[in-house]
Amino acid sequence: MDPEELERRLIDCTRCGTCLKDCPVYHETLDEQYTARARVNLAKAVYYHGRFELGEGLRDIAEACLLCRACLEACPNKVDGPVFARLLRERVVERFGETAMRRAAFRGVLPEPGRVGWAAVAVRAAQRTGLDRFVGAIVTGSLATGSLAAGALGALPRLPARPLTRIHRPGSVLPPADRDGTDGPASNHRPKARLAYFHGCLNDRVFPQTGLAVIDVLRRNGYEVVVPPQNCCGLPASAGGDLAAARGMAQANVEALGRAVADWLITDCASCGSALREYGDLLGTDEARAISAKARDINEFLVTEGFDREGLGEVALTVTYHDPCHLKRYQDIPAQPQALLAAIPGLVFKEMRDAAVCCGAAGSFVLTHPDLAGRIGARKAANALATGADAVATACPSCRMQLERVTVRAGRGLPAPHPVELLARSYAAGDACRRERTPVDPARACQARTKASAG
Amino acid sequence: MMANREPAVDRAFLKELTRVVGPDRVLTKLESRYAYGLDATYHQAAPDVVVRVRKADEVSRVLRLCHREGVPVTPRGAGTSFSGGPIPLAGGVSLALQGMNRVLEFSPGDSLAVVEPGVVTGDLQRLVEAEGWYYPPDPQSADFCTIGGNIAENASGPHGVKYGSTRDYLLGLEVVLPDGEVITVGGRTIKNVTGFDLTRLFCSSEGMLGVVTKATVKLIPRPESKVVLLAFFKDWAQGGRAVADIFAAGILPTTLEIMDDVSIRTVEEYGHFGLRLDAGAMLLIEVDGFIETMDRQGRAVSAICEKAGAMEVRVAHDPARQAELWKARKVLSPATSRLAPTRVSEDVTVPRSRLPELVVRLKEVGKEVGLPIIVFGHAGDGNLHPGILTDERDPDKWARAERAVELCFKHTIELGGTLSGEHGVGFMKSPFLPLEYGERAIRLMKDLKGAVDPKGILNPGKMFPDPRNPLRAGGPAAGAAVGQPGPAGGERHGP
Repeated sequence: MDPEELERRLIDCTRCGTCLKDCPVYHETLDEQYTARARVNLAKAVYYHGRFELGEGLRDIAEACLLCRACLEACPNKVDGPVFARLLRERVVERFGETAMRRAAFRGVLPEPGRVGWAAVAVRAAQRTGLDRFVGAIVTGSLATGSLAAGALGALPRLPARPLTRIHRPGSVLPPADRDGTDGPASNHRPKARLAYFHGCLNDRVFPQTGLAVIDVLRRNGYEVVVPPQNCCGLPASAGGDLAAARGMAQANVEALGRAVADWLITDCASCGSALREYGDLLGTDEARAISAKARDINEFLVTEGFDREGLGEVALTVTYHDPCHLKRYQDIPAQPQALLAAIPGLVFKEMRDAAVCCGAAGSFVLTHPDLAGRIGARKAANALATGADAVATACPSCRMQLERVTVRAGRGLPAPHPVELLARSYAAGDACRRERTPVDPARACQARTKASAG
Repeated sequence: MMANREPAVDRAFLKELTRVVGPDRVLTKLESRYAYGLDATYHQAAPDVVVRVRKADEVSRVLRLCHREGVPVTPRGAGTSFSGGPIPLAGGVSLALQGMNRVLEFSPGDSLAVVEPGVVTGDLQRLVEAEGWYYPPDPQSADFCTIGGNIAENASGPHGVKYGSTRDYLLGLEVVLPDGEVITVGGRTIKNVTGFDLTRLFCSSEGMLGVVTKATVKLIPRPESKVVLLAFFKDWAQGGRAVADIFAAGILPTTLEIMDDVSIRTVEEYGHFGLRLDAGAMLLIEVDGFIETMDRQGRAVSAICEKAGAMEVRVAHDPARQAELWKARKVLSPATSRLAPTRVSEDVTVPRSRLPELVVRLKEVGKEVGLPIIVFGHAGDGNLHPGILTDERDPDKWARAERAVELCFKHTIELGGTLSGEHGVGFMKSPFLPLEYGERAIRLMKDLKGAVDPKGILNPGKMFPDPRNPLRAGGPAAGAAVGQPGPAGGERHGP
């Protein structure tokens, strides 16, 4: 941020305290040092006056922020608290350096998809041999020292045998599919558009089912889908204050995605989506701005462009929805995922209390602040469970891991599928229904039945 | 850089504090303490140590310790003060009370609630309103400020004209005195004339006489319905006449807010609410009561405004439309904060009948010092918020703003008013206390303070003219002499 812009933003904070109102961390800690205005004020001291002698105490304050933007939403002067948390993190990295694990993650592993793959293989091996529980038991005590990778091992769910990129190799081009999802005559039709799909790390290695659903739904709706080679979006690094590492990853993606020559760039991870949309600001090049302008979240894309409703079949589930911060407040997508869910016949949507309050995962926050993340997550779990829903849908794999974990801890584990997975399931149900009965107008018959049961 | 002040605490003292609350709730790192040195003013002074208490017993033990060692203690709620109340001018201990946030009792039978000081005012209001009860004091920060701070500053808001301020809802208090002794004053009854009214003494004592650890507050039945009106006038004389006529007609509104032409224009540019840009004054009026009376009261107020010369009156009966009318008032603060880098905001108050005269004088002050002054506030109780538009980074503009403040106070007192209607004195207004009180009255206040807190450890440097006051050092730029200043951050507040 240039000095003038920084000064303007610092002036905008009047310290009125409105940022205390909705801050999940403040609600748990009731500790003034972890508030947006405290960080703005520290940033003022650090950057504007340059007369503040920094101590290691800054690291703790800078990092105890979810970056959820609840403060920005509340602030009458629209001061963006997370901007200052990130600014202070940059300063911490500058002054004291990164922790060894973060350095390894941001500089060593994340920029190289191959290394992410090896890490996933190692994690899966540990999980299969039960070694993870052993390691987990050891690191529970050492989390506080910032043992990021070891903590991640304990936080990750069971990894699937085949990641998405083993099913659809980087560079795959998938033509439009018939209504039943198969390669039929439609594959020869001119696609409605050519879409590059950015799956990110988690929906590749941890939740490939999301990626498969996204590809399936897009193809059924007449789109050609490309799976370009790609690496980590860079958000973990930029959120962690390592802008140089973030820029490196962003630049590599800008080049790779540019080569895919697509009409739009589709994301299904709220965090990746928000990162891609910030590439323009982060890199400041025309190429980066072009990528940012093309990036669209799958929920928003389907709702805006429309999707086939005739082919949908019944999914008899009660579902609630959790708003990822990176979708609602970073990408301004507050209602589209719910609209997708509402379109599914048989599905009963129940809104939960405080649906848009951060789940506490917040990327690596769950690793650096396991206790706080657990307390914030417990509130979320209670609200989700109170709806009586069978699933708590969400559009971010990081939220998903947290939601599945905290609901287990709260006594009744809920799956946290991406809305598009439920949509794909609805299409599959429609296929099955049409196969079973072959009335005059099969699609309509299936719809009529499921609508009745949804009411 | 924490100034030329010696730390008021040593290692042995910190160790003893740790014994009281445990190591996690004693904050000693500079970066942590820094956060506890600010409020909604533009000043700052970090304490030497922050103690985050959870129980009255901890408050008592911390105070006993500080009393023994002569260490200054500044109590703190959510830090939303506009007078500098929670800023620890003398360093020492910042006593953070947010963690004491339990509602201990809600008794509809006795129409009262018993709360700890860290309870957020809005949380209490929502809790009782869900059951048909009402806790009226409504500072603009109700959603995040705490009851303890409200009591210390005797806070109120737009509904003050009908429902009064915090002191009108206090039945009893548990207070820890500066030496650590715990006393209870008042009780659980509406009527209570036994002994001096110490409850009211502690209310608005600005954290200088004791620390409230429990409060018994009075509740009233929640009004059934309300009607909201927005009226536009050519000038303040007409608006002032309407205000007077409303009361004369036997109507007691819950709210009577007034905005000047600059405020109207700024708000309209900010949010496009369809306000009349040709108006010189705007009144927002709210009346509550039984549903059956709403229509009649709405028509009566409307007729009064028209008779006073209103160019237009808008009436809203349904909640959505009411919220719309209120919005123009609610965005006033962020909207006007764009007008200048710094807005110095006061809360001078005069008898209602002198309001139009005060406005004329305030505008003259603006012309005299060469700085724009916007005027809005609670017309119903004569409480105005003149906002002096300046830039604290510019020494000349800052000096003129200080001059303007002084003149505002002078005119207010001349018109029979008071320096502060709801923000408190703190150190923002303490240099001007002699304008309002005679020497003997101030001496009595000091005697009271001395009797309760002979060592002067509780919130030093506030209320009375004091050499530690950063204002007397020459404005924010010189605040560095006391602690960290808050440059480049103008106070642009707004109840």
